[in-house]
Amino acid sequence: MVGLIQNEWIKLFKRPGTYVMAAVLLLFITAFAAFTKYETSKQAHETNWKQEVQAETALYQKQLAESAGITKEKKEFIEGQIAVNECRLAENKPVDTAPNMWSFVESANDILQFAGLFIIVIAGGIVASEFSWGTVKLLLIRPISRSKVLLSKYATVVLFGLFLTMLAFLFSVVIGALLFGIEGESVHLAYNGGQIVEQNILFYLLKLYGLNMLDLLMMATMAFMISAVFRNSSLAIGISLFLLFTGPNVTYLLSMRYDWAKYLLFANTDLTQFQTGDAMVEGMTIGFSLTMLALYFAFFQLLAFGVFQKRDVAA
Amino acid sequence: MSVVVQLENVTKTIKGRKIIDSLHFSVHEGEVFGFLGPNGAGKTTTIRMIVGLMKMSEGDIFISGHSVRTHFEDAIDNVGAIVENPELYKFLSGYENLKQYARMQKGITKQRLDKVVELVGLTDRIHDKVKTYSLGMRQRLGIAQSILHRPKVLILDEPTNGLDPAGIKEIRQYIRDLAEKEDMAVIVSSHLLSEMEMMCDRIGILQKGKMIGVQSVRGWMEDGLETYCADVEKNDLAAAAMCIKETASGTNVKQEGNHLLFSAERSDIPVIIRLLAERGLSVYEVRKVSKSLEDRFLEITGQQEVV
Repeated sequence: MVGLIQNEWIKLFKRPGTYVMAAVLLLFITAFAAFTKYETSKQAHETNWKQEVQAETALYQKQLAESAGITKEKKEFIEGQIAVNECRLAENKPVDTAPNMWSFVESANDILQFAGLFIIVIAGGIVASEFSWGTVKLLLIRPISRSKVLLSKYATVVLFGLFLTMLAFLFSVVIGALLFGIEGESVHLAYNGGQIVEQNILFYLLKLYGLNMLDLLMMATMAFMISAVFRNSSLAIGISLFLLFTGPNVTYLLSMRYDWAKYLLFANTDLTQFQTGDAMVEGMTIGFSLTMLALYFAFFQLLAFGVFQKRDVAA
Repeated sequence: MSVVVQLENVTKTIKGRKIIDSLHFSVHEGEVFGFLGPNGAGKTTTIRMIVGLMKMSEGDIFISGHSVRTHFEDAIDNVGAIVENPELYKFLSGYENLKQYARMQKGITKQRLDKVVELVGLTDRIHDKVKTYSLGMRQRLGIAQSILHRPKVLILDEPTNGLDPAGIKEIRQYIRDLAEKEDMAVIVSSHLLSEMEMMCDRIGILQKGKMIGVQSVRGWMEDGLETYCADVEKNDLAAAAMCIKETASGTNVKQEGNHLLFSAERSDIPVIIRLLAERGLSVYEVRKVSKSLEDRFLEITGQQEVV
């Protein structure tokens, strides 16, 4: 098994395309950092953090007072934020107004979408390209079961996803440190069931990246499934990318009218929605989403493994 | 000689059509077995079923006693194969390709790898990318990949396809060597008869999914009836034809201009000549028309689906 994954990894990194992907990802992060630096250099930060926090609290209170139809979860979230802000003022725990390394890493998290794009390209091609190269014939006539071959390919996709996420994270840390400095007094305060706890910022960021990666892996699993079932990489990559970009929006539109939208894959992929209380359909919980994700995951894998093991390799 | 590959009643049905119909044959160690048949006869399908790329609808295949159906991994461990063209990773070097396959099988040492590279004569170019290889070199790398783990049976689908005469000769020599020196069973498929004649010990003819005959190459060429041509005086043709038909093995008499073509056993030829002379028929010549494997092949496959 280790040998098989090693084989896949070699095949991946012997192709220039893989390096192009990594380079493009790093380029995006650099460009984003440069843009952030340029923007912040334009506006001087004269306000102190206390004033900003106070302004934010006022905004939250206004929100609470005005909107009657606010969901319970959202209300809880806002109350939590207010509590956090009050705690900051009371105990003199500052929030940074100017960006520092950590805040940059937090906002660079959005760039992971591009990593998702690349993971889908890899996942969509890893099975299908063996068919288009014709090498699948030599791969499947080894004393290794087809399910092991497929499993090694999926493991490689997951490892590649981890690799890209780690790369993006570490690069953001480095470039954030270079451009914005390591100095920062920011303390991450989390509101947890009526209590305010001080969280390690690193832990918080890793969690954020982890949740995002889960989202990406679901998409990659879907691309992998299409790749294994239809043996066509353009189809797998095309469908998955189309869904990646349109899925969340369509699901959002559907969720405004229909309750069943919560059973759709994209209603559940964004697990950060439960942290801010912005659940797509009211009544959804993190447990529900995790169950749905597990079901989709099992469905994709059953389809991929079932078809890959049964089908004849013709052509 | 022990049986290495055994096909039992192998049938493949696709959408109600029988692509392969009850194949039953075996291949022994140290033997080169040829699969002959026109395009679309089912050669590649049969090979794909032996190596497990396609599932058979009925029957079973045993390799060294292991069923391909139930003990695929044990069975395929004894098989090395190239199915159709040797498709390798073009973005890797020849050596990296071989290492890929070495990692998937137990007990392949670096020494073995180097020895196989030397055996197929790729030592100079093995670290170049496969995309720079000629077809002949790819074919040789394909063979290297298939014999890496010292299989008991080597399966090559159209091994000489697209090669120049020198390349074909080379491959043929490898195949004979592997069978004779390493005692491997080799299964090759081809639609080229002349090819098969030169490298196979036995040939199975496949047509429309059925095995319509398995014969050893030497026996095929020497046994049985031969075709002869008799040059007879024009007026005596009919009488001569009667004469030939009277002898024990003389059959299939056909008139072709001033000649009579007929099939007979060699031992009957003096009898025929004597008879013709006794009846006072003017015979100028009786000679053997050597019949090639190709003629036989066309006879068996019914002339219409010529390769």
